[in-house]
Amino acid sequence: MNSQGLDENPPLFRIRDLTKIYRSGEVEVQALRGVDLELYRGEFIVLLGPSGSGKSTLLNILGGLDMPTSGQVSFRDVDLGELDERGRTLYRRDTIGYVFQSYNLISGLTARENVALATEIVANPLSPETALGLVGLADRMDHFPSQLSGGEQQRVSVARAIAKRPAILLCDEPTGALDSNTGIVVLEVIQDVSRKLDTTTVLITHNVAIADLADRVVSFANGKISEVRNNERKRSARELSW
Amino acid sequence: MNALDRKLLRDLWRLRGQVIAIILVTAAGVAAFIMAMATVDSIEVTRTAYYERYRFAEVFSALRRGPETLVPRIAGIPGVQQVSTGIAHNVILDIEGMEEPVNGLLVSAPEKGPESLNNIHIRSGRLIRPGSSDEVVVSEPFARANQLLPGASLYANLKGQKRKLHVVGVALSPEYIFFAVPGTLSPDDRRFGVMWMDRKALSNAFDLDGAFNNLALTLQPNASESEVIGRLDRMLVDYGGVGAYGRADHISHATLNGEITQLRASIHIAAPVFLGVIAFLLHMLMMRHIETEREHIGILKAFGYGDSQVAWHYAKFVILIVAVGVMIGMGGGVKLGRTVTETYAEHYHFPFLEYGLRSSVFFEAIAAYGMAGLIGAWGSMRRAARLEPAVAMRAPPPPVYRRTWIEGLGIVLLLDQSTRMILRHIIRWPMRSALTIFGIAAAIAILISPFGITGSVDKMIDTHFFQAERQDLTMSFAQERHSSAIYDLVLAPGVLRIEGFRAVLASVGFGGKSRRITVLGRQADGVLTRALDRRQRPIPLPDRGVTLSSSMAQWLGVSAGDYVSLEFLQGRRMSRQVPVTAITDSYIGLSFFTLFMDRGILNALMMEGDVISGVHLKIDPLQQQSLYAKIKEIPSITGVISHGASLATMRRLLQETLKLTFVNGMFAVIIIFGVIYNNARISFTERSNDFATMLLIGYGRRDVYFIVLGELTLLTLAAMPLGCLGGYAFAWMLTEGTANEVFRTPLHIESRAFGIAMLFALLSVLISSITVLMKVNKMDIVEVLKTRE
Ligand SMILES: Nc1ncnc2c1ncn2[C@@H]1O[C@H](COP(=O)(O)OP(=O)(O)OP(=O)(O)O)[C@@H](O)[C@H]1O
Ligand SMILES: [Mg+2]
Repeated sequence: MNSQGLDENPPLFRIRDLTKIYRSGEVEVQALRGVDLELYRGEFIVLLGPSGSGKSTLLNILGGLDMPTSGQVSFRDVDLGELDERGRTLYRRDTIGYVFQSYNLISGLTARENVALATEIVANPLSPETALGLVGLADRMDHFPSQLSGGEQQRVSVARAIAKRPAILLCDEPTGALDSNTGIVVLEVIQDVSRKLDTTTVLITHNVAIADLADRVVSFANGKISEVRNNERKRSARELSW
Repeated sequence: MNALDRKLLRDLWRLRGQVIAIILVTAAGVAAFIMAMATVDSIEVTRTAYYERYRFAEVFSALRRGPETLVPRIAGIPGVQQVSTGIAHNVILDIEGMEEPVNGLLVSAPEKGPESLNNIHIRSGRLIRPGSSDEVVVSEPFARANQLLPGASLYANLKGQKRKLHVVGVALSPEYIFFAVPGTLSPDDRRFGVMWMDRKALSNAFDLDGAFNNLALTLQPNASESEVIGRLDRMLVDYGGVGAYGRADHISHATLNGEITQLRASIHIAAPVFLGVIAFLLHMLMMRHIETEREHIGILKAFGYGDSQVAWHYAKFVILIVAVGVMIGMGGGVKLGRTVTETYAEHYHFPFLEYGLRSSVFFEAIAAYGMAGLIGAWGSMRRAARLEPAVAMRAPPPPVYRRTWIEGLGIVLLLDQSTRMILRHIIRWPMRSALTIFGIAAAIAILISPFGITGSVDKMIDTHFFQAERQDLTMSFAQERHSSAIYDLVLAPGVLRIEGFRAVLASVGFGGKSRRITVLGRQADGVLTRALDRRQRPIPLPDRGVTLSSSMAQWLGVSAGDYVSLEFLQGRRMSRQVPVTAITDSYIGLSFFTLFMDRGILNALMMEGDVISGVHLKIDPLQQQSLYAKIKEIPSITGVISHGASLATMRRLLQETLKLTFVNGMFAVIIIFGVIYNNARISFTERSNDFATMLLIGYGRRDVYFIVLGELTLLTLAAMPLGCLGGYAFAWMLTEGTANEVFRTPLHIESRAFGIAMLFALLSVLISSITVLMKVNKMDIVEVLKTRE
């Protein structure tokens, strides 16, 4: 699917004049200063921008981890800002899959168990074994995080995120801690799986090369969107190098 | 099992050191509780069954001589169910191989049949053959102490006639579970024994044909004890009745009751302390655990686990610890309870033992420790529930360290980096450091208190034997004699000093309350026995009025200057109003029942001449043997107390209580260790990152040791004075809280107790440090920096 077909689709996310202010003590940090954006079903979005420009903040709000200060974010016509705690929990449980830069696996659980942790609370998930198979770790399922390399850990984390067949996959610098070869493997997995499962994917990166994977590239600067660009030639992860 | 529960088990395993420490403390607390409850309950249940089966009476009275014809009249008193009469007489015994004279109470054997009260239980041998004039059944404690098995014989001085008696049986009786010679502190089974003899033989020996001098009765349900006692007393006046009393004033029953109350009170004081320590330990462990699990919590929430699910996950952690601890504790408590109960049953000479642990005790333990667990887990559950996922996902900001105020004092130049790290860490978490200090202090306090208690008993013994009652021997006469009787004894071998006393049974009353007591008249110039004030200074014998013990004063509600009424139950049965001239500070149970005054004044109040009921002696130990030989020949002496022997008995008793103290001490050691070990581990985990970094940039492991040990030692040192204060307060609570009208121990803690407690604290620091130092040694820098925990 590409951007030409999107017009018939209603947007999945509708973001209107979104701001976010962090207050810690005396200091006020304006992380987002009025963001407007629409995301469509099946899109692969890459967020680019300098450090501190508000990318993670937006992602966290989309994921129901954080609340906006003002403005609106609606998902399928549900205003995320209106959801109560229980509603947000269910939203996260049923809709969102996360991949973080620092993997965030639970060290006391094996790869399989880390994935099971996410699947046990949702209806109709992939089995942990299938999910780990999709990321190419079928033979490492019973290893603990400390027995896996960084790239392998990140693939477990991707398996954990997609095992619940989420409508939305949010990845915050998934390759930030990896070398280029390993990073490419992880990106391949993400791209592959999100295509297979028809998920909408938002991926943050500092790496301009990775932007080539996207349907649309959204650039951030200073808490605002500075540019939205439709990617003319979408590439597959295999073709990347940096 | 789902993944989250599996994580739970692995977390428990990873933190096993601390988990086991807390489980042990929990188990110790529960075991102590169950053990004590089992003991008290069993003693009570057994006592009740014992009383029922052997028909222990409810009202008792001694009199000079009551004709059998009186019995129907007594039985006619409204409320009386059953009357049983008998003969009881104090005698001096002569046992072969025993140099000193021995005190015996000869009691007529209860008649056979369903009518009889205060029945005896034959342990070995047989009952007395009716009509036999020289057979006796002896009480088991006495028999054991003197090896008086059936077949043995001994001599008794029956009204001047030395009679050989044959032991045919050994028995127990609910009436004499505890029996001490009046005036002594504790039962001395070697020198005081109860013996049952044929009633006919006794009435012949003591001129009580067709009469009795001892009476026991039971009451109908709903009868008023005091009314029956009142009527009975009036009826017995003409027969030399010295006042009837209920079970509450029955020495054996009251002593047993006092011990039961004391045990119960100490449970109620000790249990909350244990609970507090456990809540504290769990709180510390869980708060730290949550801190290391921040990101996990974030992940769980990001993936759609709800707040309550996450909180429940951590609650289960605590529940498992507490549940395992409670289970071990219950098992151990039941076992220990059985052993301790058996020791007590042995001590009380119960003929049988009913293990009476109520099942509700288990529920109480579960509820109390569940509650403590909840309190301990509460903070961390709340934090886990409240942690925002976005915040949790971000690594915790590096702790904000400040320059400590100590550095502000300008000694900064004297401190090296490591010392600074210690100080900053302590001050960075003031609440936690304070809690740790508090926890260690509590443990020290708990360890001090049992030593404090034994110190107190020691002090009591010292006061009684070396300050208040300084005579070597106390002898009582069968009947009052003129004070010139002293001169008969002055010439006896080895007598250095002799002082006569008068003891009269009376009822003391004030403001509607009254109580049966003994008025003790002392020789005006006497130096052997003295009353002491609060500071252990002797109070001179007042030249008018009475002195009474502070506990009796409290019970009656009198203070010095008030007038109390005295109704003498002997002699002309005079009623008098006398002023209270001083209040003495005596701790000893029996002195509760004793009022002191000048002998001359006492005799004058009674309108009698200068008579005495006994003498106190100071003797020359070298001539003790010949003195004893002589005493055995004097028919008018019915009781002899050797204070040296009583002292030895008291000390032996103290040794026994030390055993229990040891058990309590062990529990306290577990607590101390649990608290210190936990703190050491938490503090280490918290900074393993810092330590790894230190090693990385070239510090040695030695520098890390210094920090670990230094912080722990500093906190422990800070806790010590606090712990000593707390120990003092706790011991005070134990002595005051368990004091009742009859039993009271002074608070006295030897400095040794403080030393021992602090030594154990330091020892725990040492052991905990070693385990942590082993961790430091095994610390893999890469691993630590990678997993960031
Ligand atoms: N909890 C918080 N409290 C205060 N300020 C915050 C908080 N979270 C984020 N910020 C601030 O908000 C701004 C935007 O942060 P955000 O994490 O969204 O940046 P980013 O674009 O993801 O940067 P990076 O590429 O470095 O991850 C930053 O200035 C950051 O310091
Ligand atoms: Mg970011």
